[in-house]
Amino acid sequence: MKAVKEFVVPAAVLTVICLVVSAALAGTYQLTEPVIEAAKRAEADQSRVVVLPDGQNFEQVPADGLENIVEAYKAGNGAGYVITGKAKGYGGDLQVMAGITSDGKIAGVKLMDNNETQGIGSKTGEDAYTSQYKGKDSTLDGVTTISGATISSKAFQSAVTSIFQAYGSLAGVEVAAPEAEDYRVSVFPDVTDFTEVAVEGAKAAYKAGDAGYILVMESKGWEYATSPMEVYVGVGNDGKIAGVVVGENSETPPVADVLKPEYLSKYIGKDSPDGIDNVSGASQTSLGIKKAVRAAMELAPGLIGDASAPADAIGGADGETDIVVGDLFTVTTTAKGYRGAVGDVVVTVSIDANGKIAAIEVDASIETVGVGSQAEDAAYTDSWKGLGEGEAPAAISGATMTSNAVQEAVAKAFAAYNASKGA
Amino acid sequence: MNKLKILTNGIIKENPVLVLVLGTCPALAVTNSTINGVGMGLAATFVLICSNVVISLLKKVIPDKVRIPCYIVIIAGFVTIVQLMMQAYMKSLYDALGIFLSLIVVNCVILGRAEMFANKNSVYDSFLDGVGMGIGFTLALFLMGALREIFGVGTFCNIPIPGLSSEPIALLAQAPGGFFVYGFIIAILNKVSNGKAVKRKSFGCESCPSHAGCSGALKGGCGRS
Amino acid sequence: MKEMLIILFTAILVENYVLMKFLAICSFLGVSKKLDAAIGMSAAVIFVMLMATAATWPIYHYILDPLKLGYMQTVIFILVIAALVQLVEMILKKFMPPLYRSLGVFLPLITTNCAILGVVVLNITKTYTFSQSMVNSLGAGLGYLLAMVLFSGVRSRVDTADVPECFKGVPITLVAASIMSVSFMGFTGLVENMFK
Repeated sequence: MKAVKEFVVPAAVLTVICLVVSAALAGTYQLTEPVIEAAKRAEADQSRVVVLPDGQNFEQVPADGLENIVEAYKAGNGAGYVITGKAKGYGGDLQVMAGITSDGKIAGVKLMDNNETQGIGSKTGEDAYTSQYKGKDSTLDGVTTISGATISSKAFQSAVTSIFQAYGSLAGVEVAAPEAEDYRVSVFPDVTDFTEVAVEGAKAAYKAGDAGYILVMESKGWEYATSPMEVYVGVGNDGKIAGVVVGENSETPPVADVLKPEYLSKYIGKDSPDGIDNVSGASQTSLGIKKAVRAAMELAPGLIGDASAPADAIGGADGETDIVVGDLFTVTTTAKGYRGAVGDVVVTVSIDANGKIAAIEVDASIETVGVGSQAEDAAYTDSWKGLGEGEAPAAISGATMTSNAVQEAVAKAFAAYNASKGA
Repeated sequence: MNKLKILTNGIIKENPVLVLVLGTCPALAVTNSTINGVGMGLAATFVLICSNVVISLLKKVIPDKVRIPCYIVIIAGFVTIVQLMMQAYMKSLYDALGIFLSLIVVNCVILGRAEMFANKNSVYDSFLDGVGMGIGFTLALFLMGALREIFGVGTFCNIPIPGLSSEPIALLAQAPGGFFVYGFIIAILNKVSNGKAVKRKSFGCESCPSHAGCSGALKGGCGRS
Repeated sequence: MKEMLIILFTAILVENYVLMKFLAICSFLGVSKKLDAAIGMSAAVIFVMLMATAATWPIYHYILDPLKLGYMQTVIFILVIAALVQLVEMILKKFMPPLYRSLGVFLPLITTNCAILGVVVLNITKTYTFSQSMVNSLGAGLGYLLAMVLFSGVRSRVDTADVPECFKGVPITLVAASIMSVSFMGFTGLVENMFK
């Protein structure tokens, strides 16, 4: 009996108390669990409800393979989707979260992670800007940009467009892309009827009413840009440049400053890009525009019917343009130098009637500044003068790869020269 | 004993935090804002009242040998109920109190009252004792929280106080401020009552809820076997 | 390894369980009067902390969590700690009497030491792995030891100091603890850079 009293009773009492407490807790848990779950969900949904007020019980949906999409959530009650997209802004990637209702309209947008300049690009995060998106469909018709913060606004808009594309593939509906900004109008503001014409060597070409032509050229911009620049070159009927506008591009600040009208308007009225200064700090982009304009102006005579330029001079060896002026045969060729992965060294070679080099001009702006770029110096280009096919001056010490590229380009030029002789 | 005396005993004469200097951990840890302090006080009060009543009800059933484990299980049960309720209906307060909600289980005040009062007195008296002690505990935490928030953050219940919110003494809302404000309040109580109010003259084993069963305590201090 | 060291030193210095997290204040203020008692208590705390972590982590992750009984955590953990302390006391008494004489007296105090329950609950809420939990518990225990040893030194001076009458005893002890807590604030940001 003593053993019972000493061990069994205490153990039994403790066990019973434990069981009763457990039962009480299980009961409480059953009662509160749905509320706790709802509270947890509500907390997680809080940020998403801001852009999709009718949404509840958001569930993450896989966003792999969707371009420029960070994450996507579907509202459990069928109110729509909340998708976060990104685009390159002024200070790197900016992220935008947008709520899209089930009928394909924007319920709200919010600027998320970004490094836009405080007080300028950051204005895209303010209600004054974001509220205009409310109720818009995928065409984003009537969405304006903030003056002074064009790049941030464009990036914001591009992120929203990506979001709509993602929404289309997630919800399985067709989504109309917003109409591309018509850069043609920016070149010829007074012209409304543009008819496409076929021009070899240009990405696209349009006859701009009676005012002239637009040639759309593609050109490499800054080496870190992810896509080439589209340069719209307007040529008036007088054969002069009527306007230059840079269209689609992925140039980033500060080099993108040269894309502004202040700089591009310098081209207006000129026959060629000669004499237009490069913008310091953005020389690659300036050069890219220059090259595009030069190429366009070489194509232009064929369009406006200027007899002064022989039609057969358009298009030529190596896909480059060779021009015969008097006895001189001039051709522009390219070859890969030290930074061949990024771009080419461009060499313009003039060969005289005797098959000797009259002059060469090297554009090695893609190469390392101060090393490969020495190939542009007169000290080097002059050393080519008077040399014939197969000959080459000494390579620039320390810049062998660039020198080799120039040599390779010259060899190509001679090949074109020989081809033209043969023809 | 006079019922009113039982009730007011815990609020003034034997205020657990300020007079008996018990329950120091939560008094220091969660009083960085008024709302947290009061929330903690009310949660502990609920547990204190419930556990006092239940333990008093079961005082004849629970064998002396396993009384401490039994008390702990009962208290832990009520703590969990409070946790679940708060998680469901007061999520932000639940997050703010964090681990100290679970630690009500080992709060010296609660186990101390079970051991010193509830297992010797009637259910009704134990209830009153729980209410009194709970109010005393809550008031003390309110005082600490209010002082630390007013001077440490410059707000009261998140409402900015003109003149203070611009340059608060941020240290008071942080860990050192807890010790400091607590020490100061007790010193002031000492001063105004000429050293009579505060029962604890120094820290010893009394604050430890298990000191009754500790061999060292009986011999005049911990660590003396 | 680096991660473990960061967890260890964070627990000892930056998030010192006593001075920054306010756990185990009762025993910190109660037992820090004498150095030998402070060390004995700390050793017992470190020992029980490691044992408790080793017991509660598997219980939570292999029993409570799979059965969706996470809400029973507080009840189960405190029971496990209480049982563990009893068990350790019995084993020490029977098989290691010398160790029992030095540590045993502190064991009954430890069940209700909130640092023990605190550290095992935090190991779960911080979603530490088993090894991370053990390192965190070790750090918490060592941090407790550090605070106890340092403070016992401070208190031996404070108790003989001439302070205003109303500050004598409890208040001045708290103010001293406050100043020590300020010094531990200086460790903020140190540990991340220490192992760079």
